[in-house]
Amino acid sequence: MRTDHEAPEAGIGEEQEMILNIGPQHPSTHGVLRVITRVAGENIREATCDIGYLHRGIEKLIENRKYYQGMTFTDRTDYTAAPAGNLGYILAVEKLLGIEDEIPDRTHYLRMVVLELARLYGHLVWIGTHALDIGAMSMFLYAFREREKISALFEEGCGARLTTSYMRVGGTGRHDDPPGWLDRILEFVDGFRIDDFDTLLTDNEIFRARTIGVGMVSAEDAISYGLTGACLRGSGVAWDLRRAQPYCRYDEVEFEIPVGQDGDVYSRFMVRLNEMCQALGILRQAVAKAGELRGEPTNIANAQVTMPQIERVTGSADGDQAGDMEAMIAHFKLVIEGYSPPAGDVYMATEAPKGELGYYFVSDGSGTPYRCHIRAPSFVNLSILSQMVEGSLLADLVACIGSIDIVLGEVDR
Amino acid sequence: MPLGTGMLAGLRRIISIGTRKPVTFDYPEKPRPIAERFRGGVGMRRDALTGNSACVGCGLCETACPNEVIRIDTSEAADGTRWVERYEFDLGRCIVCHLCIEACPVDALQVTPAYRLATGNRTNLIITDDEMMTLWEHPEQALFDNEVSSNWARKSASIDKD
Ligand code: SF4
Ligand code: SF4
Repeated sequence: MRTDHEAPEAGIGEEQEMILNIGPQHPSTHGVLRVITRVAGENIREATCDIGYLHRGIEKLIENRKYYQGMTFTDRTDYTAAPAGNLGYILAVEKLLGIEDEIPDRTHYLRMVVLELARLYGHLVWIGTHALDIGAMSMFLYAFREREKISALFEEGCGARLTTSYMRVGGTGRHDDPPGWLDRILEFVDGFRIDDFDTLLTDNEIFRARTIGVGMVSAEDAISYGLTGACLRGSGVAWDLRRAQPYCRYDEVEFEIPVGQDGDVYSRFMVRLNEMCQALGILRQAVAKAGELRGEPTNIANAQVTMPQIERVTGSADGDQAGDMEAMIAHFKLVIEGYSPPAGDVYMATEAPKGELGYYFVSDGSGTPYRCHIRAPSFVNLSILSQMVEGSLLADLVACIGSIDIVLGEVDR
Repeated sequence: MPLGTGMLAGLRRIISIGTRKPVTFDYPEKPRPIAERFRGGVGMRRDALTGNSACVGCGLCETACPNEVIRIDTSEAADGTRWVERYEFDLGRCIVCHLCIEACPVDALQVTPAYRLATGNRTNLIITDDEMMTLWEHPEQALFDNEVSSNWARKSASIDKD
């Protein structure tokens, strides 16, 4: 579409430029991303991202809620892998409260189980939609078939399929792992056919032609743009926060950091595919460790943050024993006031499926955060898109957007 | 590697996947099994003694809810007892996080597996404790007489006729 109404000056055969809007309602922009491109024929001269169509003000919403309420909004940032958002938030609040060393091992491993499931969950959406954009229809169906099984596991363990809200500050709240859940996760891990994805895409000539040498990012560019996650590792930089700044118990499980060489769409594809293999390995170890620790408490005994057991508040069901007054007062205080971390600020970064997900909190000593900032990996990674697609073909833009792996809930927040 | 080998391998794999068992359910003809821990609509326990809702009007759920779903008005009787005048619950705002259930000190709010909470009229979505008690007692039923579903039934009947 031309923006001016004058007759085109260039004649037939000469190059004319025009402005082409891709999105915000375009199936291959993965949500409501709008890319304004200046194209000459099929060649992209310039591409600018226009974001904000899904802005809900999540940071402000969190700032107006008590700490324990804010967790529910983190499900809705990266909704393709909700537990990753929960974990980043919870770890940051725990660090702010200074209780991160008190968290029991069992909780750490349960969190790791859920987080690695979330990594698979997020990567399956990515591989399905990315391949679909490039023209591999069946991949979408197979990815969502596997994803359905993880949804069922989330439903069983966390209570919801998509918006898990699983973790609580100081542990896992009322939910530990239901009986048999860990075994079913192992069953799922054993039955996960990663070779399906491998066979269908890795050697597929069309897929390779569409991705090799497309959307090149050098390691220097990746670092200077602040890319993280597979976008950085695809360019050959072995940086993974699970290794560099271990949290939960990632220093006690074995895994490799897959690294690509060329920094093109195909390298990023291979990195994520290998990451899925590694996630399966971590899941096996974490499930085994969590199983060993079964029966241990999952919540810390700190009455400042942990709700008293509800039976102590309500009394016994037959009414023989009245509720414990002390527990009831603690319960009321925790619900009405929440907990008030000491004044100060804290930044906690975790390796989410999309990259470095960081939560920055400023506390003024009250029960609500004074400032909350979410360092969303999708938002930062998206910044390289303009440079990536400049001078390439229009069809490559779609491959590039898919390979950055954005989710607009997180870009706009 | 000769051209097309990768695609042929993919084609073979697709055919072999076609022989695997389906993972889908025949919903809504057959109900889907629901996990025990599934967070469905928020139900209200009926007190066995009084037959009324077990809520004591403390207002903790109102405070704990991140989305201002719940609204409670209480009044005090002459003898100093507290009564719940009005308990309103806006299903349209609820994100089913169940923080309210964790906050309730008398276990009046209850987890239910109910998920058939749709209606064609959004004013219906503001429910009271009576409907929440129905939810708790009969979570398997659809909460509303659903115009949408009866329309659907009518339509499919006419399709059958054609
Ligand atoms: S489930 Fe969550 S959103 Fe719904 S009423 Fe309870 S606290 Fe509010
Ligand atoms: S927390 Fe429970 S008892 Fe208190 S007002 Fe809410 S439903 Fe009633």
